[in-house]
Amino acid sequence: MRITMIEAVHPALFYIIGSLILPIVKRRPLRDIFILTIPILSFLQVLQLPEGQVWTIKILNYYLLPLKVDRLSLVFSYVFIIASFTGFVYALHVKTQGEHISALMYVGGTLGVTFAGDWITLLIGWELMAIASVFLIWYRRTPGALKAGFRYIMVHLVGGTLLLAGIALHVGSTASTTINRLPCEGFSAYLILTAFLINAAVPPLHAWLTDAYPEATVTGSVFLSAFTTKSAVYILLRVFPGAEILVWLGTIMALYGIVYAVLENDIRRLLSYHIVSQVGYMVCGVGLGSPLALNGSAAHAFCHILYKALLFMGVGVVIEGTGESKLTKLQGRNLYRELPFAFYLYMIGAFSISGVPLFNGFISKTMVVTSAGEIHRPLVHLLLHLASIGTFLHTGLKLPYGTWFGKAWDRNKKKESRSLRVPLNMYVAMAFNAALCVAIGIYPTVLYRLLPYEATYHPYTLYSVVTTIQLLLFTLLAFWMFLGQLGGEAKVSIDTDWFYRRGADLFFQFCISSDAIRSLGQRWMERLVMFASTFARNPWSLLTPAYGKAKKIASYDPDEYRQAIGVGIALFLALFSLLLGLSMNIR
Amino acid sequence: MKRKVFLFTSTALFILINLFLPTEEAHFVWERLPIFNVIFGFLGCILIIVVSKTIGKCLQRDENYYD
Repeated sequence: MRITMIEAVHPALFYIIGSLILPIVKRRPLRDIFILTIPILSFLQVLQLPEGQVWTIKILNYYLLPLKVDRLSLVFSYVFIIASFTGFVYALHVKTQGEHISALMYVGGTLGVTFAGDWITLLIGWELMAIASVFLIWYRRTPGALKAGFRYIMVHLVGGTLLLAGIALHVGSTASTTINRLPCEGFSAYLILTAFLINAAVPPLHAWLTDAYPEATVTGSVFLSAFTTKSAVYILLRVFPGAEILVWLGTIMALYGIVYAVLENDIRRLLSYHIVSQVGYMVCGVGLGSPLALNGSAAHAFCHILYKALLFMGVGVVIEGTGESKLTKLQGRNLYRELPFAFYLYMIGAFSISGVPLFNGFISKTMVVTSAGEIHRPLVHLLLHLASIGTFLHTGLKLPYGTWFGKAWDRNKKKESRSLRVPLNMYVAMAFNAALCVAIGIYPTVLYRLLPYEATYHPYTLYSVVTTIQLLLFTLLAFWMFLGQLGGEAKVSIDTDWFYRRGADLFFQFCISSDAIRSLGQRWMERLVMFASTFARNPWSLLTPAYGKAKKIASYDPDEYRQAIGVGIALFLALFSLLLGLSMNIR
Repeated sequence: MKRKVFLFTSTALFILINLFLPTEEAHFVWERLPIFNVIFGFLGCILIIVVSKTIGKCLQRDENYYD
């Protein structure tokens, strides 16, 4: 007998209502049980949802479909809920209620996007994700996190606005709110695509990710790594399958992350660049568009969420224990003696992301790469193989070597030998994810059965296993030879966020300097008037210079930035009216 | 010296394995070469390091560049 009441609840509502109740559940064991019950209930609910079920609500002549169940939304919802469960286990020791509340809201928004059947529900989930997730960055409570959080939310609000504009144009012209596959042409489709590409972190629109994720709280970055980019991949799979532009964007993306990862010193930022790289495979798979490629994208998203969360958990343990996140600070500490379990569990994630046979990355990544071969795209095939090499090089070799072993970068550094205390629940969550990575790697059928499209694929053939092992072994060899040059450097690499981080400064400077020109003119005119006025003075004062000379007092000037801000607002208004005019012409 | 010996013996070993590996699954001509994966893994890795380090010369800044 089924419980009819539970059957009628949207899976996202468990999280959203849970996040509203959580503030009054403060007592520790009760709170922990409450948090962990939410994903379990939601998962049970999703298991009961029949395929093809659709809820329809009519509001103001528009049909909203807040729940639309099909194979694609189901496979993504399973992994989102699993990831939230392990994420909450990992974060269980965190006392700040606000962090749990925002994480719950964030997952709720993601599930809202996953089950959305119409554009308006999608938009609500989209914005909820952006707003809830920024608190996972701000709760780090460092100046860097505050600033990065502001940049993060600004980029996502721009993305949300583009999505809203695209949806408004699309719904206005077709009079249908249902999410369907869109041809990649026309202004509204471009706006919607751009919004999706921002969330998928496709270069050059990716910098929000690598900027903000390393600044988030230790437990927050585990959540962040799972949801935003993968929900974007999901919606790309639904709306733009087979769009040719995605093939190349995805391939470039896979390599872009690799190049930056070589230069990176911050361990979480290195992993963030590998999110960009791995999502590249998925975006490429969406673009390739064959059933195998689309299945590959979905499967790779599924596996990626599990192993990437595991990797972030592993380095999270290091940051929690040592307080350091830079390779230059960690090298030579020989952390292996202090945190061996974190190393072993991290390595399971590292083997998974590198696509080592018997780990889950192997059974999903090869699907995308093989499909590129099957529909005869030699360059894409070759470049994706190259990206796999880079993945193993950094995540599998450079990062763990530098973090847990490695030669001291600074030889004068004293050996610290304080014992590192890391909460047990962090290890439990890691073990759970590691077990899933290995289980899916050994028995891939369990995942393949869930995939949305009709395609058969067998990962474990003699040819693919032997060639993969060769590729990885010789990468290891090259790493070994270049070991001396692969240590971290205490530097930052400028990325496309330079344009808005430095650009904002330059814009402000421009507004001030435009004011400076005006005030220069004013000063000269004042001097002229002052000079002229001397002729109108008491003639006696010309002979006694002390007369009439009052000292000027430097003090607060309320007008200092008035002109600059005025110019800024004027420019924004001009841009806004230009866009308004353009959009009216388009309609 | 040790590294070189290791490099050459392992390369030779893998080429030997590849000679007997059925390649009907390979999608492209170059994948049928017995030496392809060995070379690609090794040179690909070096290529990534060299290209990135070169690009890095233009892109890397001091750690407090943005502060």
